[in-house]
Amino acid sequence: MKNKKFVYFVLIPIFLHMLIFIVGPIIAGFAISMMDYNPLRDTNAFVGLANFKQLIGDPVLMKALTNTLMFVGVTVVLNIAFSLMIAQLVSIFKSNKIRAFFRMAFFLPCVAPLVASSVVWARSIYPTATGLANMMLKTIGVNPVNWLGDPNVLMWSIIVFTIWVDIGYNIILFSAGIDGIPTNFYEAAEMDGASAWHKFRFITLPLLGRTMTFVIIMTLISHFQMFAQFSVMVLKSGPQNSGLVLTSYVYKMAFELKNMGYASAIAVLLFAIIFIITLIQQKIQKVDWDY
Amino acid sequence: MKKLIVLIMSMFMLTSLVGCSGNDTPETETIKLTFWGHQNEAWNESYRAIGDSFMAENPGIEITFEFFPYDQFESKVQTSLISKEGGADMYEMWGGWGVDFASTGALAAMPDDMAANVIDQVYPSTIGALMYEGKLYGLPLEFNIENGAMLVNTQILKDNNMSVPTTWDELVSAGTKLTKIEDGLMVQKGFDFVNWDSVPYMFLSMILSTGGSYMDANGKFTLQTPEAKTALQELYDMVVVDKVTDLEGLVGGGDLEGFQQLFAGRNALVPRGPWVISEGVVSFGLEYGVDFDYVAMPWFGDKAAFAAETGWALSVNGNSAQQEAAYKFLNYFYQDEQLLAHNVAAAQIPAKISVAQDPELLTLMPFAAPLVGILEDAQFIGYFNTDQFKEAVNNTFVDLVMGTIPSVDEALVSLEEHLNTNVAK
Repeated sequence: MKNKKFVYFVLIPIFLHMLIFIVGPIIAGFAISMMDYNPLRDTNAFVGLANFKQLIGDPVLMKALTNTLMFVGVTVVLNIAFSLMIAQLVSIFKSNKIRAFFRMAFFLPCVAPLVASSVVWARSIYPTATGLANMMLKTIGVNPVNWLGDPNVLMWSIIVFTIWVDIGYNIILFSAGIDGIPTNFYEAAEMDGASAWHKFRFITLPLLGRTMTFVIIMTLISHFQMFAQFSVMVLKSGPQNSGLVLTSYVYKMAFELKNMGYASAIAVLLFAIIFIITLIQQKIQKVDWDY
Repeated sequence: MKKLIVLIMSMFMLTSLVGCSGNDTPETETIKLTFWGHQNEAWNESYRAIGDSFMAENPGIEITFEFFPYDQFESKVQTSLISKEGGADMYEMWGGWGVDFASTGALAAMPDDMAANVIDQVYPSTIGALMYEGKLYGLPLEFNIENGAMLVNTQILKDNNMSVPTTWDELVSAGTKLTKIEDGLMVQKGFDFVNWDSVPYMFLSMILSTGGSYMDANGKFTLQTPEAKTALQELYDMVVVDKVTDLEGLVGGGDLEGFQQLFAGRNALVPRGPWVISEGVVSFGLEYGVDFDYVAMPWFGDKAAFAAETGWALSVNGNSAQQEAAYKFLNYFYQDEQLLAHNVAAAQIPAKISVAQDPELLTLMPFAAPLVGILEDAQFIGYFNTDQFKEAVNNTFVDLVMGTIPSVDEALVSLEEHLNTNVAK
């Protein structure tokens, strides 16, 4: 009993922190989404669900939502596929030093601030006239591409950058997961004559279930919330709003147009999307085994 | 014992009271003001110099200047005005923010007698966004101008044996000749007018200079007019037919802005405000008048006419306890001598007519020559959010050039509807 009291006591600060900095702002966000809210005004009218009704008929929101789903769908799938593949390849090396070297090399982009990496790519790699990407294309006789100014190319350019910058974190997680799988499973499979692919498909992949669940949820959430590269690499919202995602639309509405009620309604929508996808994903990937 | 304590306490109280009553000549308290602005070395030094001379003349007032990086400045101003506590007594205020702040009571209205003088003595566009219900909420410092002049890369013109164009036709023709395309890439732009500010400003100026208007007396946008159609068609043709530039300045993909590309030797002619000149000198190490020039840009129509938005101003916090002292400083700042010094230091076109027409201005700031003569031809752009307006015009222009909107007529219908629904107040 005494122990329980102590546990409650030490948990008080973290609960207070959650209440003030997580639960409070979420409730405030919901409340503001039901107001015609301009922080500069003394009084802000309660408008009920008007901001949510406006969401339905807003073509720019639809464009932002489509862009966000496309961005998240592609980056999450490619990120997990590449990071798993690289983690598997790195695990082939027996030497710890070599494995550590590759993990560090792939993790380096994660260490640099996202804004700084975005500036480097936007100013050095992607510029149409002076960028590295077009210089390389020129050497093989391909015409230059406007990586950040063509509405059909812009999102793909940001996807490539995001995968480069974000893949290292998941490589580390998958590597740790792979290293944690007992070697006797592989030894038994080898005795049965299993190929490398079969070992990966029937041992590594299933036994990485918990790591995979964690990686998918965290990658999904973080990619839905990505903002820095869109803010730095996209000029305004990009041609024909091709670089506009939900986070940048929230920022634009709240801080450029000072329509914080509507911005909060968009934020609530984003919250609901992430919440529902996470619930579905958790149901699908329920893991109830151990080794 | 009790008696002793009572005696000691009584002596102590008596001494304290005597001490208080001895202070029979109250000291004059110094009034402390704070001023917030954005970081710009030349501007900041000018504010401080004017502040020092004001404090020397007014020993009872002390001003502390604080400057923030530009990208944080607007949010800091906004947050401090929202909180109604803290913040500064005086703010450097972009005119466009006045539309958002003045109507909320966050700013203090200028005293009537001072406001009457200012309204009478400055160009109308410099106070348009600072006015609300007949009151003035800021002291205009600059005439924000994006029309009437352009940067010229003198070396590119020399290399092509060309002189500065003086008519609209010459301008378009020069733009076409000076554009270079290699392997499908525009490596040199002849007349790079495609940027966030220039497309909307040129569009309005082209309408006005051909005798049209873009807004009716009720504040509604009217763009389905022959003048608007001719203007938008011309802008479209310059990109698609004459190829004087491309859409990079609006859609992205460039490493530098258009005027920076001119300083880097990749653009020949670029219409921008005079605020870009210092960057050519300071950041690119160029010599004004030798490597690049700033010259009059021909008008599309047969007269000089353009729209201008309200530029930088100084405002007083509506919740400041020292509004009187703050306006005393602004009144001091408003003298011709101070304004001239500040405008020259900050490379701003003056908002005050007497300063703009002072011959000394051109001696100290020769690049202002193409502009001071046309300031009378400006009209205030209108009481609306100019960022939203520019975004609407630019998006429509991009859609038109990219073919998403099939014709100029349809572009104007769509733009007019959008502006009247979302932008007009």
